[in-house]
Amino acid sequence: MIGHVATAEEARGRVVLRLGCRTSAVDAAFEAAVRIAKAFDSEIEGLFVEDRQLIELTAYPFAKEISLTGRVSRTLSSQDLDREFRAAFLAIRRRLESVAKRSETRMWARSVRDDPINALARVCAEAGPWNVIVMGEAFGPRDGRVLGEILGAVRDATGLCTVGPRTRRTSGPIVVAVEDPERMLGMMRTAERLAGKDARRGDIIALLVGDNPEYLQWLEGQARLLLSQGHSADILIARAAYGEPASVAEAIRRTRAGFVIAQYGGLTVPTDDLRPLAVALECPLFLVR
Amino acid sequence: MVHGPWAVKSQPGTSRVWGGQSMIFGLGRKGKKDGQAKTGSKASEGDHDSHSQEASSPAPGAALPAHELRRTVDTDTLKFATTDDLDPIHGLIGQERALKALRFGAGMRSHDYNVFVLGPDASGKSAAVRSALTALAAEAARPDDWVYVNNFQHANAPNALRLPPGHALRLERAMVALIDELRATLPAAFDSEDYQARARAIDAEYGGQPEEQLQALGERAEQRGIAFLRTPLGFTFAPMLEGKVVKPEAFAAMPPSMQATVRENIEALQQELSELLQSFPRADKERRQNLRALNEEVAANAVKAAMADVLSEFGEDKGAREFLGAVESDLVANAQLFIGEGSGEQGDFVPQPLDSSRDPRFRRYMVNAIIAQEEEAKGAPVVEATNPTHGNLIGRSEHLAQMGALVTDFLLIKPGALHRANGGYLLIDARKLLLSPFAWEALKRALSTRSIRIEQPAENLGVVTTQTLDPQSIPLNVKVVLFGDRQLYYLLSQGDPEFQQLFKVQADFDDTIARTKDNAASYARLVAAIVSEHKLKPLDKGAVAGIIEEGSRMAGDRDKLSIEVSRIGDIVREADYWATEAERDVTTRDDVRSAIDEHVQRADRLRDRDQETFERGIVLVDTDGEKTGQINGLSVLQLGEFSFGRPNRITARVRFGPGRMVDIEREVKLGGPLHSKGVMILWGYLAGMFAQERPLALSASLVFEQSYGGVDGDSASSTELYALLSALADAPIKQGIAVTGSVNQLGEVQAIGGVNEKIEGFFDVCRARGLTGRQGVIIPKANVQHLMLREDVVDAVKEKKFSVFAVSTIAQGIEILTGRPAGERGADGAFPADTLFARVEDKLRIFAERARAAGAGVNEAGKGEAMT
Repeated sequence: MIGHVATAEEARGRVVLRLGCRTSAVDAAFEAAVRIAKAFDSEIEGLFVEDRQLIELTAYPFAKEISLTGRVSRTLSSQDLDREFRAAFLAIRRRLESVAKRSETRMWARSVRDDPINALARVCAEAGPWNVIVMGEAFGPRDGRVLGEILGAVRDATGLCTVGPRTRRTSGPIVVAVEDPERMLGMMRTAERLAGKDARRGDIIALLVGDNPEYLQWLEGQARLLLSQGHSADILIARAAYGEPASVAEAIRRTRAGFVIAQYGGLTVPTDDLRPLAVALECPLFLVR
Repeated sequence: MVHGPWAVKSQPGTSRVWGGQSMIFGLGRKGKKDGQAKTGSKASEGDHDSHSQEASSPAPGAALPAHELRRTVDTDTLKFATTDDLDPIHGLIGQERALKALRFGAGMRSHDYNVFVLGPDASGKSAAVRSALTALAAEAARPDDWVYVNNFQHANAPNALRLPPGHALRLERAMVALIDELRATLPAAFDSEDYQARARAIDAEYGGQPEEQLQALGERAEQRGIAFLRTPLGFTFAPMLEGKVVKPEAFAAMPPSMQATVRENIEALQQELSELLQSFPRADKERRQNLRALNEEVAANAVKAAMADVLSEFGEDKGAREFLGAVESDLVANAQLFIGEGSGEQGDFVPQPLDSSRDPRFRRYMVNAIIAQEEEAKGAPVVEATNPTHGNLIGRSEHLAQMGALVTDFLLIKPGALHRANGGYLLIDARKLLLSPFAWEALKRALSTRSIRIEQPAENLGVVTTQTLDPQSIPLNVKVVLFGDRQLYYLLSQGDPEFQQLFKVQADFDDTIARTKDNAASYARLVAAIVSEHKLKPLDKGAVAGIIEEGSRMAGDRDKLSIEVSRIGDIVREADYWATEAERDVTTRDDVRSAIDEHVQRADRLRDRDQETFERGIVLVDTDGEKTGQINGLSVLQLGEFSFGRPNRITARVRFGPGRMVDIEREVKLGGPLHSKGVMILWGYLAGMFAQERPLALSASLVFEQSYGGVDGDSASSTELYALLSALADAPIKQGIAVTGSVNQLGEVQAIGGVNEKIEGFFDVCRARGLTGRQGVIIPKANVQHLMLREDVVDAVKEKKFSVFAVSTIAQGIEILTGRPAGERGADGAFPADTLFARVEDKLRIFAERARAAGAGVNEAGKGEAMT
């Protein structure tokens, strides 16, 4: 976990910005990558993945590519794909260079041809365990399973950061969505690192998430106990009525957060339906296992 | 009216001590000429001073008694101890005609009955006019307020809005409050669960976001064993097994039926995908329309609620109602301006209070109250334009530099004096106005069109290259009062046809008032007002008397009082200073005298130098003894506000000749037309008096000795005549007596100006050399009423050390000067023997006989070629 990095004061690590075929990667994802990199004094590696399966697909005579407008259909060819991948990568790299210059962050890019998840796992393994993956494209309402697959497959990553389709800011308080007090300390340290040394009161919010009042009351006690040990955060409570993630997502939206730190799997980031979160999330989401 | 000032202009490079100075020699004191030629005193009615009590005419040729030389105030007639006992009088005294004209102009409702106040500077007329107008304005109705607001259709043409008095500032504050409120309520409205739920419902109605629909399609494909993949430029489908794309060789190994099924599924999915992608823009458009409608509904609810108070306060006013309606529509259409501000984007979790009126996003909803009165304000405004430039007069639109460009908007419109005075009175100094480029034309345009239209002068020149505004003009209802001197008034009347059309009322302020008992009492109250205004020590009655007497001196007329309030105020304040120096609690006559003397001393350096030239014999002037054909004339030098008199030697030489008088000043072009006229009159007098029956075979020359500047005025004409008669009669003139006065062809001596300065000037020269008792000055009798001589001169006269003679004819004057009888023609038509005129006539007869003996070439009397 990236929380471990902060604890061990092993400041350096690497942010792997995963970029796919969509050239229109989300600006907020770039900003999130930069913010994480600055917080952890890391560098950013842009990883452009040429989906190997697409190359294999060109062998099928019936395989067609439907254009983004749906009006053009054409047979796939490996030459065309090569050219398109190259063009997409060059575009991505130019953009990375621009962001690097503007943010004064070390950043480079490389292109690999592989299965997307395999590519992430392989690249993260190359540089040791202190990687944070940032997904360059917004997650969709049904991408919960994909996120889980990445977290499961890429063992050499301490966290996964992604953005939603409505993500539009990275400034604002850092919201730590606490469902399990065991994970709170690590998430708090991550939040403190992201908030920086100049953090003020209100910069970190501990959003206690649960679906019944008794649990939430207990959770609050645990949280206050933890916070009394030298951590500073405002406490908010989000009760998921009837276990509905939508109310948690709405509570997150109301905080006008600049970053949300949450665990994968639970009321905040369900493993399946991310629709409520996709609608409500206006900032990057930092997932811990 | 003809009067006899003569003047000498300095000549640079001459030996005079004042050579090279930019001085004008002459009478100079403005307004002094009025009434100077009047004879008789008007001061008799109710007068209370020494002059009236002792007024009597001296015998012709006799020296004037001391009391005729200065009209003093009998302090017993002043019924107060100090000015503290007086009720201060503010404003002007004795200016009923001007004030009546002012009231008439102010009362005329027509736009073209504006007022031009004529009068000398420093007369206090502007303060008096302001005071009078303030009193009138206090009773007048309060004018409406005016504001400029944004024109939501044409932003560069702001709308002017008329509001009831006192409403402009309220509306301005209300709009700021409205925006402040909306900055809180609009984001809250869009943040509410209700809005979010409805927005989500709209998304759901159109199948969610495109990404969600594509994911749904991918799931459906997956259920059929088909992978849904993204390519760099689109999407594609592929056979899938256990989450992986089936390799081609594995697919080839599948049963043909299975392959066919896969192909069919892929083709169907491709078709479905194609339709789905093509439906996105249409669905998105509908979704956005519905979302916009929802946004407008939510925004409208919030805006209406926020505007309810403003509308209830200002809704009765049609203009305000229309403006607020436009604001409401614009707010609803641009609600996004309010969303997201102060939140995470700016890094502030807790919204910071911001000044809405300064936020560029909300400027369009603000109000520029250009004519705004406080609630408790009363009456109409009286505004004085102290710097009447074009912009200060009609207003201007200022600019801000943004990204290298100059931009402006309606909030940068600045009102001018016309705006502030609208509904009331505007006071402007005419000279300043005329000296400000474009200002005079702009004022006339505003008055003619009865509206204030703000435009940049540079626009007229076509040199503007930046953003400009064309604000709606504002109806103008103002009474303009211009202040200027008479010369300016007549110049404008003559040179600008529009001036007479727009300024039909002239309020003519005199610079003097009659020195009556009532006016003297008012003068004392005016002094009391100055004391009160400047918080000075009170003046005792002696000091007030001194100021009244000085008022007459300033007027140059003992029967008048100067109303140069500024100068009077200076004397009172300076007297206060001297009283303080003397550690007195009350200002006395001595302090007033010190103030006057010190004031003179500060300014009379050049007079001292001039006096020195006489004392050191640089300028030759005899003040004792007798000489033929030589006489002392008197002139006045004006140096700014300070003037003083000085003597000039005038000499005449005569000889037999062809009937010609040489005016040397004119010959060398140093004589002005009035001086030449005076010399011609001499010739007429001589011809009429002595050459009725024979030619005037005289050649004479007249010269101002040691005069190196120009000479003008005819006040030396009698002096020149005396010199001529002396030369003709070979009768020496007493050099201790100086002369001033003009003369007509009949030998009557006429009034001149600057009589006091002239007498004092000669007195100073004589005193410096030692008063002998034989020295004095001859003045026209008509000038006796103007005598307000310095007290030291009066004292010298009392002590018989100096004399002032008043004459009405040349005969009287020449008798004083020569000590000989002038002579009157007897029944035989001849002058008595050995009289001065007989000797003149004898000399002229001899000349005529010589001429006859010599033959032709002599002009007949009466046709004489007087000069050149």
